[in-house]
Amino acid sequence: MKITFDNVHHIYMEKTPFETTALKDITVTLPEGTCSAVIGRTGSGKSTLVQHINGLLKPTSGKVMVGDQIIHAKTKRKQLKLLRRQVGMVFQYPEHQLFEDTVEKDLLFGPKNIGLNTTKIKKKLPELLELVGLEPSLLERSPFDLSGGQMRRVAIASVLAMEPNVLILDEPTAGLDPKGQEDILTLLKDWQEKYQITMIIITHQMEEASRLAEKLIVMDNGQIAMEGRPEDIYAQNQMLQQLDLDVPERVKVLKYLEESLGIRFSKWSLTPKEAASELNMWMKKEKNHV
Amino acid sequence: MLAAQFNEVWFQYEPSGPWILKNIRSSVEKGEWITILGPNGSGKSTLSRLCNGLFIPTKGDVLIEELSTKEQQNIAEVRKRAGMVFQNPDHQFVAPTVRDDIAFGMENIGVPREEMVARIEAVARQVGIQTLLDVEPHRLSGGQKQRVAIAGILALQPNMMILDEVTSMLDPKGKREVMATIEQLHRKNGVTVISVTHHLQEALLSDRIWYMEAGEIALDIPTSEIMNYVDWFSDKGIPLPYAISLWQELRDNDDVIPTLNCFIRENMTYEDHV
Amino acid sequence: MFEHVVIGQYLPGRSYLHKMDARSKLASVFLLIIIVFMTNTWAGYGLLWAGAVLVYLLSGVSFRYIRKGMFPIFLLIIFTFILHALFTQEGDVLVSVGVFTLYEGGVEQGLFIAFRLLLLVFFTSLLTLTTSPIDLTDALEQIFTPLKRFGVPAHEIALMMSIAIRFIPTLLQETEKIIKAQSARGADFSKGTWKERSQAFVALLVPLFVRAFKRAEDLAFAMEARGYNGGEGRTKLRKLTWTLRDSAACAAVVIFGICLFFFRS
Repeated sequence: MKITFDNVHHIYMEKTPFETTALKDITVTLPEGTCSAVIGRTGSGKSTLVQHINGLLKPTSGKVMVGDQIIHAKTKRKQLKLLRRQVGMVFQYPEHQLFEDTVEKDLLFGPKNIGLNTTKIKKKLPELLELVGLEPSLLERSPFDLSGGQMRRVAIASVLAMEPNVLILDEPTAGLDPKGQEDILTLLKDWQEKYQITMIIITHQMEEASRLAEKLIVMDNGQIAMEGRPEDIYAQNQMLQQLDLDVPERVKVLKYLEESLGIRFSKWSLTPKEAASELNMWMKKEKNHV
Repeated sequence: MLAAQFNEVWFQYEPSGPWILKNIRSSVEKGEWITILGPNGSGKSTLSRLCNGLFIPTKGDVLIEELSTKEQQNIAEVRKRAGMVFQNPDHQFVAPTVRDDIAFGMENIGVPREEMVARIEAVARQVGIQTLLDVEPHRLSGGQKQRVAIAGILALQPNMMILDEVTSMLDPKGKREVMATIEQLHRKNGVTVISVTHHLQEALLSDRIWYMEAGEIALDIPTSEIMNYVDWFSDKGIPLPYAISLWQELRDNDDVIPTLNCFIRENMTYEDHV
Repeated sequence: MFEHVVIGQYLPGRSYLHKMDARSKLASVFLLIIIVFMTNTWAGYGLLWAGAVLVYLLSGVSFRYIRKGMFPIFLLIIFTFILHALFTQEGDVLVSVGVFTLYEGGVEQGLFIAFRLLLLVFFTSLLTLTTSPIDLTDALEQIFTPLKRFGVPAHEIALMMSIAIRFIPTLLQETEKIIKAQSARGADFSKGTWKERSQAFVALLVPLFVRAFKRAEDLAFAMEARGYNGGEGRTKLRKLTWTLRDSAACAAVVIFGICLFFFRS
């Protein structure tokens, strides 16, 4: 599903002394079937932005289009509920929301709420668990007996079980060890490739963004500060620093080498292997030259 | 005098349970910074908690500046000398304001009030939170909360700080703030640091790296030798910082390696972020 | 959404009442409550209301907040007034409609009771509006410290209260987050059959409790690591300072009470 924000403003606690403008003049399109990443410092409006996509928040003015559904200030609750069937959302530390006494029940909670055929879904659960890298035998276990990484995968699966067309994830790898992070990223990438859904992730980690997303949206103070391919955004170190974001390590290294050795790399998204081969080639050429 | 000694330390949570730590024999020099790396469940957090007397070894001894944590009468002194900061910034903030939270530890050990007031001012300036003293915790960022926690420990004037994954829940800005604070305390005040982390990048700042696996210290090397163990780390599935991965690919290329080494050396600091 | 939470009703300010020591405020309110209950004449209540207006002026609090604090108990006051007015049969008959007869004594009784309740709420509201919960906790701890020898855990109670105050905003933030997360999983907290709603409620409460226990465990470790070892030998950063202002206020309340004593019938 294509998602379009058209001149969206969002004001929290309007007409009270605490009134704050959380989003200003947001106009952006997230193309269908691709992954986009939203980045920005804490409090920049990232979460507010994505909560408009599944109707947890409504725009104060402007409109959001998800597929053919339109959400504006006066959209009815009932329609928002319809929207939630299409748009799955995985919150930060999703394992904190598990509550049933078996993994199976937790996985079925969402599908049941939105009125899906649970007997059909129940049959698919073992397959789903394998897809997220867990043993189907875990279905009968209590989610609270699992390790942190396993709980995270169950929690993500509990949203996937609702078979969303759009999947939003808020910092899906936060707080996990490197292996856990790697597992989650692989699982998301596989899922996205398999079902060609529209995926949106909020992340602080540039490396993570570059591995999953084709498009980056950088938020600052409720507005979109930068938008485009990761390649193009990474090159703007100064702007990134101003926004309290990390310049990706690879960009720092490659720029340093460019400056010290007087070389040009073909792009910023080179893997260490690719960068090494470019360096080796360049050195060879240089030597032949001399 | 050594800052910490582990003499054949074994640890299990319950008498019939599995051994979480197996025969740890090691020591920490005064003023040294040790990073403990390792996968989840390898026992690194448990080891850090033994240093502060939160856990007592099942067998063997943990000595903090020659005080055994096994002796109940040493515990208060051990906690004064070896302060501990935890992972979740929100779960260790006890008091309703920053000022009260910094005071909490001092109140516990009976520091006179005038002394407390002076120390609060001093440590708040040291970690850069002097303007936040009257703020309530829910208005602070994660990085600010962790710095309050560090200030609360510093106020007890410890010789050693134990940091259990203190940056893992922070955003990039918070991470930089906290790492820069620790780095500064280590360099300027000579505080001994034991930090538990998943990130090799953070380990580069320290003097020595312990890699833990299944309750044992599988590798104990000076950080300066890390380049000799790059393959060892990548075999363990630890993501290497980009510069080090590149170094791994290019190690025979004498034209590039010196420059890359320069980069790695120059970027081993967080201090310029303060 | 919850970052603007004001705990209790406290309104920060710099008025006479704000600057008073929480202990003297507690003591004064305690005395005033006794005085309110002792009073039983029109003149006495007149004086009390005059006193209340004076205290209000010293508080610097906008009347809006006091009205807001008193509103919930207004129904209760009206209800008790009607009960007393109808069922007290003293003095002359004022009106008689059907089976109901209204006596002069009944109306007087009803009004007195209503006044008492109003004044009680008024004084306690002013106390909480001008005293931060933490100061109140400290004052209670100090007042109850002498009772330690009778086994009253004054320090522990005060610490519990202050930790509770510190974690209320955290809990609210967490509740909001879980509600949103479960709504995203299709839970509906406001609609549906009784069964559906209770299920949604379980989906909210279980994670909230699981988190609360985890937090309590972490907090206990963090407190222990910082050398917490009960109330013995502890010093305190927060100091309540009793000034001339407090002595004056307490003396004024006592004198006021003595004067009112002569207005009793």
